[in-house]
Amino acid sequence: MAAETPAARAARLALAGDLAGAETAFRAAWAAGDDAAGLGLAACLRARGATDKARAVLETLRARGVAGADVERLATEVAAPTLVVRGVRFDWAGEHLDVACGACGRTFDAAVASWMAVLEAACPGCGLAAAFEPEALAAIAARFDPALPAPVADTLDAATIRIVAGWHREPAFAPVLDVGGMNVGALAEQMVFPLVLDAVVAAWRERR
Amino acid sequence: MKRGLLVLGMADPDLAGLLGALAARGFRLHVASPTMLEAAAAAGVACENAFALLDEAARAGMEAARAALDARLTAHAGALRWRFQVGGAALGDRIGTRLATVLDVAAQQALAVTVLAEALAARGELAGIVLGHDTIPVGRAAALVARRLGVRTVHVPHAILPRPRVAAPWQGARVYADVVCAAGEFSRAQYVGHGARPDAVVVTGAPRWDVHAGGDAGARARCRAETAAALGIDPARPTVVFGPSWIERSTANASQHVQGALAVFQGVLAAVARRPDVQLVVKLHPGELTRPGLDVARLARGYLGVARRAGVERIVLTGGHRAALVATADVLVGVNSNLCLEAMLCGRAVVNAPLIPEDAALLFTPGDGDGVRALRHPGDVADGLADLLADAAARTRLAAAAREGVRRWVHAPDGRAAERVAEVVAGAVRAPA
Repeated sequence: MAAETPAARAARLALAGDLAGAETAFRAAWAAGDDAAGLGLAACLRARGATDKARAVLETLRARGVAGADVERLATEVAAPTLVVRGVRFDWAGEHLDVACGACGRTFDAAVASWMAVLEAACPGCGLAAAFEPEALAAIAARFDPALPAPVADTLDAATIRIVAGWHREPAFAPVLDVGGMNVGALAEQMVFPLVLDAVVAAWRERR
Repeated sequence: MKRGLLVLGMADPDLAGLLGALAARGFRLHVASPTMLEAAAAAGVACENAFALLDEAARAGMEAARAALDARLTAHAGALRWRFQVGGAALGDRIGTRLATVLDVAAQQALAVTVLAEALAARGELAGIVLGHDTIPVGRAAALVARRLGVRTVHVPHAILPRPRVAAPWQGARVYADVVCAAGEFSRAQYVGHGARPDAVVVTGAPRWDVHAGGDAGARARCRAETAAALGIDPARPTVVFGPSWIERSTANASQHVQGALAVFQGVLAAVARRPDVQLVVKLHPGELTRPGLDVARLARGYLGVARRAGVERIVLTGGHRAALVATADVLVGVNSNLCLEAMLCGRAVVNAPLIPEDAALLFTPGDGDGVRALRHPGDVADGLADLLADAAARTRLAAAAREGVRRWVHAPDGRAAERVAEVVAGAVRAPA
């Protein structure tokens, strides 16, 4: 049996919904000179909101004379305004995407109730809407909250636990946090943890 | 007058047996859960609605206390913000006003449990408090209020928590109640290993799994037929049950969990796609279905869309039928979850997958040694499940090993855990607080 070509592997990954894997494989095939892989790469880039990069790939394809109905259709789609995810934030009740509207420029927050649910977001300014499938959401999570090496994650978890278990012990805050004779900061440790973790991870990434 | 128990933080209808066992010991039960009240009524167990104790005056008092807290938090917002730093980096701007929101929710829970416990104590009717969770605000507040009122608290954990990579007090590393009823030695070792007094951790078994005791092949076949009819699937076809979980930011690597969860599901789909005779049931976790703002239709579209793109059409999603599905699945796939243990208890072939490789040994030892096929990597699911589906002898071997293997996690699965927990509660409320 013939070995699978890089472009065929990329197409198989794309069909299986692994857009991050497909993008990597299409990019490798594209870099190796396979013009046909450029269309797949552009589609993957567009799917994760990297429309400028998708447009650049399509322009290169046109410049190389690789034109066709599929290229032009994707170029039209890329040219259309879309919702662009700019970040991920999380708190005790769930996760949120920081979204910018490509049509009116407004930024807004889209709550992710479940990463496995289709997220339907609409710009509160102009109504431009987009739907994000679970594969696209996983790619967004990977892009804006990339994997941490386990020792780093463990260190950040431990630092966060120390902060969460300690911040409310400051004697000066006792009267502020008192609810019926109980320290509400202590009671809420489990709920406060994700908030602080979000900030700790963000601070670590900024330092990097 | 009957001795009263305040029952908080329980929501699994399969705990109705525990309520029955407590009632049989002469306790008058004040239950703060509509789900449990319904389940108790269906089981013929008399319970009082604890929320009936919250009268208008109590609600007004709670509201005033909340408003006062909010005012104090606003007045001290700047100082609170500076309290959050790590390595010289200020975290307050990123945390922002969300801290006050969380503290407000915690205060509501604490105030409610205080009112309920004090109202029962004022009637001379509070003998103790039974908790389904003791790490969330309502549980921790209940433990403190009970001590002040001179009564004891007993924690009946909803779940057997995996060993955490980094122990957090609120993830099974600490007991806030006076006594915890551990499901088995695995949980007991964690509690005691993290500093709990040995006499505060009593191994009882898991009362919500008492329903699985004594099931024979005939009962299982009837259950399978009834469940298949309810779900619209074919009882004669091999059935894979997949139990995903919900993703919460419990560790810094939770974003990897998002990708891992998708990879595990895609692995299950890849294995099922290779076998046109197999049908897949996705048993959604209650925690995913109750996420704030969740639209169930969009969740179903998400799962079904991923399945369609993987070429799997014979798939059903359900949030119910848990006990029946774990008891009748040909193979169950879980993600370091209690669903795996429950299926092992029923003698089913189980595949466990970690969401990230580093989590591979949190609940089981990788391999088949624990009576479960414990995988090392989320990417191993497709082949691991496909191999098991193709090998009836291996399924039989694994299922036979499961009942014995699960005893490390679940003590004496004889259907009497509820009675043992009721005995612990009775003993605890007799002891001086």
